[in-house]
Amino acid sequence: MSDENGIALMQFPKEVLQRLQPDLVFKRHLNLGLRPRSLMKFDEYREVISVSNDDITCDNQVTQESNTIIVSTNTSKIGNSMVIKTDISLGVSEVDNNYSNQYAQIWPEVIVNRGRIGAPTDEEMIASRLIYEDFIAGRFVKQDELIINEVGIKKPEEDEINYDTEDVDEETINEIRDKYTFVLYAKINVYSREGPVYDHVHNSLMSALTKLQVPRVFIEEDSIDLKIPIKKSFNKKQTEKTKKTFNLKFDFKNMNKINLSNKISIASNYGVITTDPTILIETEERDDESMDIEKPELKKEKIMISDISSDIEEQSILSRISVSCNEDGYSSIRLVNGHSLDKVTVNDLKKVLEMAKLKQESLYNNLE
Amino acid sequence: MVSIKYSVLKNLDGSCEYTTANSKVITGVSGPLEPKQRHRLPLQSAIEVFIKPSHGVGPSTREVLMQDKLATALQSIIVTEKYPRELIQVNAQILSNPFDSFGSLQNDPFNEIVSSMIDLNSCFNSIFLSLIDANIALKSCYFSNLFTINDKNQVINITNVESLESLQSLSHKSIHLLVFEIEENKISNILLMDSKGTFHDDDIIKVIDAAQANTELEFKNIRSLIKEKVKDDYIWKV
Amino acid sequence: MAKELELNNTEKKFILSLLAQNQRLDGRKSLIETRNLDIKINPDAYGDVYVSLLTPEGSVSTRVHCKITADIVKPKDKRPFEGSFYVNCEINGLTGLQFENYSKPNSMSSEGYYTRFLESMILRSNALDLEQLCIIAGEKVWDIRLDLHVLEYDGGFLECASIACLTSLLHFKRPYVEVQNEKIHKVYTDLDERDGVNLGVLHIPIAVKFNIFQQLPTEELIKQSNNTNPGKELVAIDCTIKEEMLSNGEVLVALNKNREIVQLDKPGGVPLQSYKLLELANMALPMVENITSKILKAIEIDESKRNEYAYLLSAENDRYDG
Repeated sequence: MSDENGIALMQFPKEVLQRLQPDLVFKRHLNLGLRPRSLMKFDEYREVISVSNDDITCDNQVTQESNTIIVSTNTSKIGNSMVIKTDISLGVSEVDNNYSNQYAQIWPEVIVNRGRIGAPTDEEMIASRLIYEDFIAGRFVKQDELIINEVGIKKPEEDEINYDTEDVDEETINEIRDKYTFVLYAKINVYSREGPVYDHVHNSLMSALTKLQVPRVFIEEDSIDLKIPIKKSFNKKQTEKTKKTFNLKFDFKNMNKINLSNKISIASNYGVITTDPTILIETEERDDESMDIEKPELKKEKIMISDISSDIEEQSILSRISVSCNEDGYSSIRLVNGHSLDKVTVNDLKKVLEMAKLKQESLYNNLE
Repeated sequence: MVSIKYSVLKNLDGSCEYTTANSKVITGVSGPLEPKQRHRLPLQSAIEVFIKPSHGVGPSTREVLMQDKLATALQSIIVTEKYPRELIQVNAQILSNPFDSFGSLQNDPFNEIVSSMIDLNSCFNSIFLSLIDANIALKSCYFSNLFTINDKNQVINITNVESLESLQSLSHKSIHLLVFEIEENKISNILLMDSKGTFHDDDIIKVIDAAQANTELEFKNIRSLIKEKVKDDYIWKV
Repeated sequence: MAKELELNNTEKKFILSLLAQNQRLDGRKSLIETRNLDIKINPDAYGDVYVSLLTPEGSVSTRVHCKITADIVKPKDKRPFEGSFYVNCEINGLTGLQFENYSKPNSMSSEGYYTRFLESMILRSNALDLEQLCIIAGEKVWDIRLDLHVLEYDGGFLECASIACLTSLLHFKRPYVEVQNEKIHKVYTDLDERDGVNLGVLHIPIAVKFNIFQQLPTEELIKQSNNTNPGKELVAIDCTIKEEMLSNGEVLVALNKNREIVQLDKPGGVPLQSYKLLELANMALPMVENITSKILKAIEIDESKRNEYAYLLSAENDRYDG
C-alpha cells in the first residue's frame, strides 16, 4: 500500500462501489443469501398495490377531443418507490372497408419519468412495442365490441336521449351506425423507476383493462342538417361541395362495459446468475492452520432471481426470462441469454414457468 | 429453399445476403472499430445493431425492439473481451418482407407480430454469417428457427411458407422464434426464445423439439458453406 | 464514428493526371464513358428493382435497391384531387463506414440533396400523374412511397437512383379500387384476382451528373477572369467516389428522350461558361436515350416472363398481319 508499490489500494464507500462494480457488490450479497438494497430473498417478489377504477376524466372539457377522455385508470405501486399510472383513453376512427379484424389493437405510449425531456428512450420504445404486441397476442378485446352500432338522438328541447331509433330519421343514423369504431390508447407513466419496467407496466395495463368501458354515442337533432362547405377548389369544373358532418357526442352517464374475450395475463420476470465464492468477504479472523484445510464450499452455484428490482441487479443479470400467462396458458415468453457464463437452460425455463404460474395466481386476485 | 450469399458488400468487413422463401435481408458487420467516447467500455467491446425496415423511415419501435433482442443475444456470442474499448457495428437492411404489399396486414393484427418475427429470424441467421465473414471471434455458433402453431395444433416452419396468401391463411395460435446455441457441432442451449400467442407447456416442448431437429438439419448446410468459404479464402495455401 | 474517406496526395495527383489524359482509374477510356448498367426486376413483386453500375471488369461498384409501397390516405386540403408521392433515401452504415447511421437526411448531406432533386424531378415535371392516384376527391387518394436502399456506393448515385426510381414507377401496379356511391367498396389487394393498375408515368426523366475538374489553381482563374481561354476545365460523367472527392463543381441535368431539359442545377463550385451548359445537355442526350431504352427493355422482358402463356389466351390472330 505504500507509494513504492506503485498503485495505492483504493477504498470506496458502498454507494460508489455499487455504481463502479455492481457485479461485485451483487455477488457479495448473493454469498450472504440476500439481494442488495432491497434485502429480499432470491425468489421474493416486490409487493404490488394496485388500484383500478372506471372514473371518467376529461383533460379538455371544451373541445372534448376524443383521445383526451380517459375511461379507465390503474395506479400500481411496486415495492417501496416505483409507481405506474395507466390511463386508457378513447379515440374514434372510421371503420376500414376491408375490415374483418377479429381482435382490436391498442396504441400504448410508455413514459419513464426521469426528469428529462426529448425523444423517447430505447427503453420506452421497447416497452411500448412489447405491450402493443402482447395486446395483439393476448386477443383481449373483440373489434365488434368497439364498433359504434347504436346511435341515440337528442331533441333540443328534451333532456332525454332516445336510443330507440328505429323510427327516427333513419338515414342519418344509418350513415353513422357501424361506420365508426372506438380506438384504444394507453398512456402509461412510470415514476421513480426501479429495475426493468416492462412486466409491471404490462400488469398495470391489464388491470386497467378489466375496468374498460365505452360511452354510448348520440347526435343532437339540430346538428343533423349542419352542412359545412369544403374549400372551393382551384379546379373550376368541380362545383362547390358540401359535406355532412356529424357531431358525435358521448353519453358518459350511459356506459357499456367491455367484456374481455380472454382472461388478463400476468407478467413476471426472472434472471439467472452464478455466485462467485472467491469474492466472499471474510468475516472471521483467519487462523493460520485453516490455510491447510481444503475449503469444500468453493463451488459456483447458479441462482434464480425473481422480479429483477434494482439497478444493481439490472446491470449484473443479463440472462433473463419474462413470462406472461393467465390460467388458460401462456401468452408470451421471452428468454434471452445475454451472458455467456450465466445461462438459462431448458431446466431453468421449466422452473420459471412453474414459478410464473404461481405468481399469476397470487397476483391475479390482487389485481382484480 | 434458403439461399445464402456471403461477402456481398465489399466496403464492409463482413456481409451476407440471406433469402428465405418469403423474406430477404442483407446484413453487414464492421469491426472492431474505434467508437465514440460514450460507447467505449473498459473491458469489453460495445455492440451496435442497426436495422432498417424494408420501407418507411426507420427506426420505429418495431425496429428498436428487434435491435435490442439482437444486441443482447450477440453480447453472449461474440468474444467481447477480445476487443476492449472497441466497437462492433452490425447493420441490417430488410429488402423484402411478405407483408410489404398494401393491405396485407389488415386482416389480422397478429400479422404485425408475424411480420417482425420473420425479419428478426432472417436477420439472426444472416448476421451469423456476416460475423464469420468479418472474422469476429465467436464463442459459439447459433441458428435461428421460426415456427408457428396453427389452430389444428400443427407445427409449421414459417421460413418455408412461400406466398403471402398461404401466410395469411395460417391461423396462428402462437408463433415461436427459437435461437439455439451450437457448440462443437451440437446444440448446447437456447440462446433466445420469443413466443407470442396462446400456448401451453406441451406446445413449448413440441416447438423446441421441432426447432432442434430443424437446426440440426439446417446447420449442416451452413457448416459446409462456411467450410467452403474458409477453403476459398485461404487461396495461398498449398 | 463515421470515418471520413481520405485520399493521399499521390493518389490525388494520379487520378487527376489520368483524367487529363482522358483516362479513368477503373479502366474506362473516356471522360464521358459511363459504367455498364444492370437492371434486375424482382419477379415476385411489382416495383421492386435492383440497379447496379458495373466496372469494365464486371464487378459491382454502385448498387441501389428501389421499392415502392402504396397506401390509401386523405389528400391535402389544398389539393383534393391529387395523390402524393415521396422519395425516402438514407445512406447508412451498411453502405460504407463513412456514412453515419440514422443521421436525418438534410439538404447539407449529399444524399438528402440528391433525393430532393429526384423527387422534384419526378413531381414538378409531372412525370408521375398525381391526379390518376385520386380515388374519391377530398377523401381518399393513393400515397406512393418510394424507398431507395443504397447497398453499395461508388459514385454515380444520382444516375443509378433516377434509373431505379423510374423503372420502379413504370413497373409498379397498385391494387384496383372499386368505388360505389362515393365510398370505397372493395380494394382488390390480390393482384391475381384482378389486375393491378399501372401508375401514370407521362415521360421518363433521367438525371445525369457532370463533375467539373478545374486544371488551374483558383487564383490564376480569377486573374484571367475575362480570359479568352475557356475550356480549361475537364468535365466527366459518372464519376467514382474518389473522382467526386477531387471534383471542383458539379452540374445536375435531368432530361427525357424528347430532348427536353426537365431540371437543371449547378450548386456552386467553379464557375462555368454559360454556353457550356447547352453543350453538356447535348452530351447527355445520347446517354439518356440509351438508358431509357434499357429501362423499357428490362420491363418488357419482365412482362413477357410473367405472361408466359398470354399468347394462348389471346384472341389475336394473324389475319391482319401485314
